Amino acid sequence: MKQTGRAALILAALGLTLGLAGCKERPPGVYDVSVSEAYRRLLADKLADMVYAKQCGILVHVTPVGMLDRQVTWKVHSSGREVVQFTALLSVVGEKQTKVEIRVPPAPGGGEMYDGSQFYKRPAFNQPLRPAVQEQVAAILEGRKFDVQRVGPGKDSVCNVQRGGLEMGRPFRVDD
Amino acid sequence: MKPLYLAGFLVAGISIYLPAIRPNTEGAVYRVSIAQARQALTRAELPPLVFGSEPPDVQVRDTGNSQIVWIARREGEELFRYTAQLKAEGDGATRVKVKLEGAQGRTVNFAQKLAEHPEIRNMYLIAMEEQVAATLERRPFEITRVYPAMTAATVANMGALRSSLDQAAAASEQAARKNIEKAYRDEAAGLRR
Repeated sequence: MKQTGRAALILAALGLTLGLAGCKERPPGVYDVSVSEAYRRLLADKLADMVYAKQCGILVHVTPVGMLDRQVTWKVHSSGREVVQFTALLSVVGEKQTKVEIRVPPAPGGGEMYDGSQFYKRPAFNQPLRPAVQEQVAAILEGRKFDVQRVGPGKDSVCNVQRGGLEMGRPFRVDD
Repeated sequence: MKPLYLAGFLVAGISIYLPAIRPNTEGAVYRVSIAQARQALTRAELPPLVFGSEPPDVQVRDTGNSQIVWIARREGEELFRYTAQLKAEGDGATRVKVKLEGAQGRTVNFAQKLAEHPEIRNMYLIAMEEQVAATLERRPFEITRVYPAMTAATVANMGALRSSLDQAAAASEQAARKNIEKAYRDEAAGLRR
């Protein structure tokens, strides 16, 4: 009887250990890829899934621009005009680990662009944009699909209305 | 003691709920003469709300032999018909029994659909019974009297409802995606809106 109890305790302890090991998480923004692989993947991606999920009523085009193994900036244009850009700064954590920090430029009136409190007559993306960029970067570096459910709903009612126009085949223009 | 109270409440609840989700097979007696009932019912429409945002067209026929018939059509095709059978019950009272028959149309076999979904059939019948009652009692139609039958129909068809909602959402998403892709193609081709 004693032996059975001891075996149960050991099994429980083993399970706990395995469970704890399984729950070990990376710090936020750290991915299990080398910095050169992270750079290669991010530079090759035009963020199509994020754009489709979060764009508003104007047509946008994303161009990735890189500084080798240090950063990737995505410049977003509409009708030839740059409307926003955001950057992933890469730093080495280990041989096979990279930390990615997202930078979005400051907004003229305070805060950062598309932070959820800004007003745009012709917004490019629903706000807040940062969580969507983080999710898209994570999806690329974790080798999975962009999951809009992880981003949460947009708060920009102007965007929602103009998106409706685009979905009905009536896009807006940034210079309207 | 508590379980007895609970059982009592359950029995009372079920005995109130069950009649409310089944049509009245005996019909109902109204304090109007058969001539008045006929005259009023020939002006009655189909019950509101239960047929959704696009109710079918309706034609009312007084067959002259104590029957009023409402024929429901969509794009000229008969879907179903309600028949109210009127019977004098002494002086100044009329018994009205409502029937519902599905049609075997060119494109839709509504008779078969009603037979396959008795809860929906019951809901349509109860709604028309309420419409008849409201007309002969000269009061507004009360949708609350249809709620129990509507709930029963909804619960019984939950899977189909969810599936058709999912299909509608997927179709809408697909149409939106196509429009967005076309907008980008048009832009690339130099076509401005």
